[in-house]
Amino acid sequence: MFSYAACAVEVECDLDTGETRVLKVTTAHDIGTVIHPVLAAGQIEGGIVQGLGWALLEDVRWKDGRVWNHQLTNYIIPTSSDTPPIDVEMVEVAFDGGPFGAKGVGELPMDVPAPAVVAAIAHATGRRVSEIPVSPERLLQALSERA
Amino acid sequence: MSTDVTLTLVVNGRRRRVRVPPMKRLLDVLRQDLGLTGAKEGCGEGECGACSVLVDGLSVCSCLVPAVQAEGAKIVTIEGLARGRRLSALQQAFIDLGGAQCGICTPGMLITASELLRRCRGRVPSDPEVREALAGNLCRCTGYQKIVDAVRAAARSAATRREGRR
Repeated sequence: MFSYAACAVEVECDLDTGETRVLKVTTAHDIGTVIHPVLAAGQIEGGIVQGLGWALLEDVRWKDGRVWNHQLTNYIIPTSSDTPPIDVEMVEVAFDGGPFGAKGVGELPMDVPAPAVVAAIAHATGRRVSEIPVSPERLLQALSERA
Repeated sequence: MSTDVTLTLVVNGRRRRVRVPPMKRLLDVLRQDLGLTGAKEGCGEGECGACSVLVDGLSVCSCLVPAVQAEGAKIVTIEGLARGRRLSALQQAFIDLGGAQCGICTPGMLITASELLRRCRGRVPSDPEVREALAGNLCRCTGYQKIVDAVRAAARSAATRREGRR
């Protein structure tokens, strides 16, 4: 039993600063029967933004076996200002094996944004960065290579 | 010999007198001395906004305000947004549109949003305008979508215009 998600993002990259802005997110999820549309969409929106943070902002740094950046000052998560409107589409196909036809939605939304962002950056800049978050430093590094 | 000071604060329209160490955080005065636990400690360093309260009409992080600085100020906490059992238009919009999931950021969001709507004086703020106003209030659950929708819906509702300030 699998739930499925697809995600497309529109980004804008500043070639001087290496910053990437996400302008729009559209995502479609197949989670079986949607029992509570507001809660389900809310879960998806929340997971999408966590995925955007993973793609662009959140970088866990370790030192001597400890998380070095364990505060909100130095572990950066998306604010509302970093987050575009999110368009959520439900592809509703009842699943026989689930309660009321439902499957699962919990962790799925986080899987799709980062690959979408990396692909969008590649589309915009011609550079496919192989590590997330695609920080300004990493994008500038990629832009300076193989010109 | 105590180094505590006696302070008078106006909180949610009532004069309150507390005796506290002068540098005690306003957040702790509200939660411990006044029993107003709506404001939350999300980070304790002014980054997350979960402790936001209105001080003389402006949304501030109460974890960064020493008690002495709040002397004589007009403070509004989340507990002060409703009128008795009647929720404000903002609070109702959050319920109607699913603007809260775990709820930890919600008091701060409502406080900052109420400052924004008062500044807008009946005008409906744009989506980017709401997002910028709320940028100091972090949320990990909702992805902000339904929060922004709720703030704009509240701005649109007649009740907000009738109430004027909220």
